Amino acid sequence: MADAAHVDHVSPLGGRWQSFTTKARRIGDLSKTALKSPTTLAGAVIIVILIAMAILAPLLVEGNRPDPYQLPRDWSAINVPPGTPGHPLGTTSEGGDVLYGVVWGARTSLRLAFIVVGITLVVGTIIGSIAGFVGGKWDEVLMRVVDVFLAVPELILALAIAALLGPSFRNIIIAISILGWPRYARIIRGQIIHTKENEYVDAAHVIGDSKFRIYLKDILPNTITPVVVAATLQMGAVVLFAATLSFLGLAEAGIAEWGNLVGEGQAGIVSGRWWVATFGGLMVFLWSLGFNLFGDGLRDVLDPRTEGR
Amino acid sequence: MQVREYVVRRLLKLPFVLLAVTVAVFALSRVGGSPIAIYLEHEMSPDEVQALEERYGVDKPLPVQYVAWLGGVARGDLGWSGVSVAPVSEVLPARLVATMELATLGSFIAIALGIGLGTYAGARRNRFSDHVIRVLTVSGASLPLFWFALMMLILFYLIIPIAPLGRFDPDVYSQITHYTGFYTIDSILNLNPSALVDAIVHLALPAFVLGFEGMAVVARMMRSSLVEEMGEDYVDSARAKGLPERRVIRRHARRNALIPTITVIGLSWGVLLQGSVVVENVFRWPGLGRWATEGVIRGDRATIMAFVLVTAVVFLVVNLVVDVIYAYLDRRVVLGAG
Repeated sequence: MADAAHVDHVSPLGGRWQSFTTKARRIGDLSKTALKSPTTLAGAVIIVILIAMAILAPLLVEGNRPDPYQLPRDWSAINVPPGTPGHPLGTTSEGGDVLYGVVWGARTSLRLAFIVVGITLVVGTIIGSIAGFVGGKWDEVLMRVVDVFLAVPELILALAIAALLGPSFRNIIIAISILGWPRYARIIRGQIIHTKENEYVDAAHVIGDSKFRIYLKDILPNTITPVVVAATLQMGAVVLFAATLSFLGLAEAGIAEWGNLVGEGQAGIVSGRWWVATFGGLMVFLWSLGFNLFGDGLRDVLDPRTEGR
Repeated sequence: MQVREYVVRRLLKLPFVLLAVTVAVFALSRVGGSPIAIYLEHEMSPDEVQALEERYGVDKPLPVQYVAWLGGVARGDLGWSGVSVAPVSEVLPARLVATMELATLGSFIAIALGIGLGTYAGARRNRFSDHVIRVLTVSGASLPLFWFALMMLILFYLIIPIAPLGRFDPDVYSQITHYTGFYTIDSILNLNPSALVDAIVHLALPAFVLGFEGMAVVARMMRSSLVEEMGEDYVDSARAKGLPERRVIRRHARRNALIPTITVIGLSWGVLLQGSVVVENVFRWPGLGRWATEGVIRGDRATIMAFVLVTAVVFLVVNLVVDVIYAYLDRRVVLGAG
């Protein structure tokens, strides 16, 4: 239970963001410790490679015009196997280049992950903070809503939401965002209630700090650690989740996204065309594996209480 | 007595959660356009549209519509499935049974393999086999199920062609009488060995794929709770009595380690239900998940609503049962220790 947070508050006159930066620096230091484990390091390496691929996509494979997130179609080369000149990883049944889908799919995934994690983190933090810090009736009502969200398997709900909004990748992002915040809300609420009990919070009340200032300076920074772990794991999970939905046919046809690539390749498998589904799915696996390995390693050093659970 | 109180409280809570789920499902069905949109045609006059709205009651206030819909659900009226071209209530039971058959075998595989591997790894902590199993379980959690299913299909359909697609061979399937809808059970009741073989051959691969994900979760939990139990005093005293290590693990440590694992088994039921959607699509299994996916792609609201409702109810009930079992088991541990 000995948390460095207690040390962060020796100077009540420090800047509002001081404890945030102290926390962030501590997490940075601990991440370096985490990287000493070979599996965590492997996860980090996979993440770096895939993110580099996402950022450098336009340099690796020239973007399709007008929409770079659509697979370019080569109608003269349909269903060609890997190794064909011009199509090193083969093409789909509609002449879509698999290599293009693999490379630009990284960009699609990175965008998706940032958007979804960003939205759900902000919404979850606000709702979890109201529940934990304000408490009372607010807490009761908000947590019942969270319970209902967590009561039903999320793929089932996401399927329903995305279906009713209509099939498109944007709607997949919306559906996943709607379902993602309750987890953060629960983590942050628990952490805030735990932190409120500390003596330095009482001390801050005594010296006349405003409630909002106490929340921002003394309480919120203590939620960072579990949230960083949760966000890392979520970066991997949302891409896997979105890929599943688009595999099931909920994204627009021909989008440069890994799950969609698997979906387009599925029908060809029974006739022996293994490559489209194999490469698309391999990328989802690597992405998800990278963030899981790294997130697990991070949790072991940041949040040892939950190790192995 | 605390346990009984807890169970009663949980039971009383269930109707409220179920009601909340019906509200959520109803609300979902009203986002993104009018629910009668699929019946509308371009050449319809405003009067005709209004007549349709009156017929389906969508001109009334939402709470009235909700009550009317809920009343229908209570009577077993779940609407018309455009995908199956039949009332939902007629299609649903057969689909549900097909999924239950797959999910039951899948969960059996997940639990048996998970507990086995978890015990094996936990008893050999930090040895080579432990590391191998850890890598297996971590990849199990990261593996996209839809991709794993397709890779298995490539392996056992294309390369080593032993796994057929679908749920049955129609010639064999039509030979027997279907009392329960469970193909395996019915083939036994009919005393028809070739039907039983047909059922198992079709079930094996999809059930294994479905169980794999849950297996990883169960194995991980089993390992960590066994490692914890192995550090307890009673394990040392069992060893001091001169019991062989196998017996110490099987009769003492594993029994206690199973208790926290039961919670995970309950949770992995949710994983299994979600997984069935994917697995049924890959292996062309005529279950609930495949039916719902068709409904989703074609925007068939009645099908989607029925699917969400049924899965939510199954999931909530299974979770309740697991919680109750857990409460009783946990109490026994507390009493035993005191």
